[in-house]
Amino acid sequence: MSIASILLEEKKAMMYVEEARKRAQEIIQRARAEAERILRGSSDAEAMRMELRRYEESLKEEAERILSEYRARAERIRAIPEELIEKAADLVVREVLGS
Amino acid sequence: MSSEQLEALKEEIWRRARERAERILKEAEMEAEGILEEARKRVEESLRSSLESEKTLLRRRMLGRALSEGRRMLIMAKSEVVEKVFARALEKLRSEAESKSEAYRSFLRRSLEQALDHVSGPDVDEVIVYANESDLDLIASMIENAPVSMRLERASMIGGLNASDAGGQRIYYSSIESRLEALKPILREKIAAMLFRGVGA
Repeated sequence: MSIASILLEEKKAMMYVEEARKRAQEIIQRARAEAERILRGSSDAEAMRMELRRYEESLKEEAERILSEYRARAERIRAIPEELIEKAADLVVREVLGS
Repeated sequence: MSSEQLEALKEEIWRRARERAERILKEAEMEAEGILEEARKRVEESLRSSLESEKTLLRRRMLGRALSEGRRMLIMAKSEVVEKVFARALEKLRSEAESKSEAYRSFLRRSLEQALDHVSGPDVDEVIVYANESDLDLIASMIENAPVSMRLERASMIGGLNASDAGGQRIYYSSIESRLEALKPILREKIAAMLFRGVGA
């Protein structure tokens, strides 16, 4: 083995490192391409539509709860006892007759 | 340099080269992961922000509709009850008028006085009083000493009276129907205060 052979090994080692550098570039380029795809991603838009649909369903339930609460309140109003209706009617009579 | 030394040198060259190559690849992988992570984060943020605004709009629209529908139900229910009260009051007023109760007679007397105040004047020769047929005699007895000439006319009404001068320029309304209609806005509030407090309305 001689100095020449060492120089040859040195060259081979440099090429090895250069090869690693090329592979590194490829890794980064692939990542950039993948990032582009992610940013344009249509599957995420679909996920968004699904999420909105799920949210809409939960809102429907909430709206129904609100409505049934109002329905119950309206029923309580309609169920006001007759004696109160009579009292209110008496008030109207008094006001109309000014007595 | 001995062959062992050369061999050791060669080993050292390759050890360094491998180390360097490994470092280069490792750094590349980290950078790639960073690029992907950043992209995912950006997508997530943009989705989240547009999703949130969509959700807010949807919520406002759907719950707003439910709330206004609910409020409409309450208004309808209250209005039904108030109308029921007015219907019942009208029955009672009819009965007061038919029975010529004391309260009704007082009302008729006051109405007549106010009608005279309102309609009569120096330029008025005659006051015409419109009333239910069953009240005409009663009214006639009340106007015996009236300071102005008065004429009674039959009219279709539950009770009370309306009055005007001969030309119809001054008119005074005090029939039960017209008083009820005129008082309805105030009465609605009074009835609501009386009936709907405490029923969760």
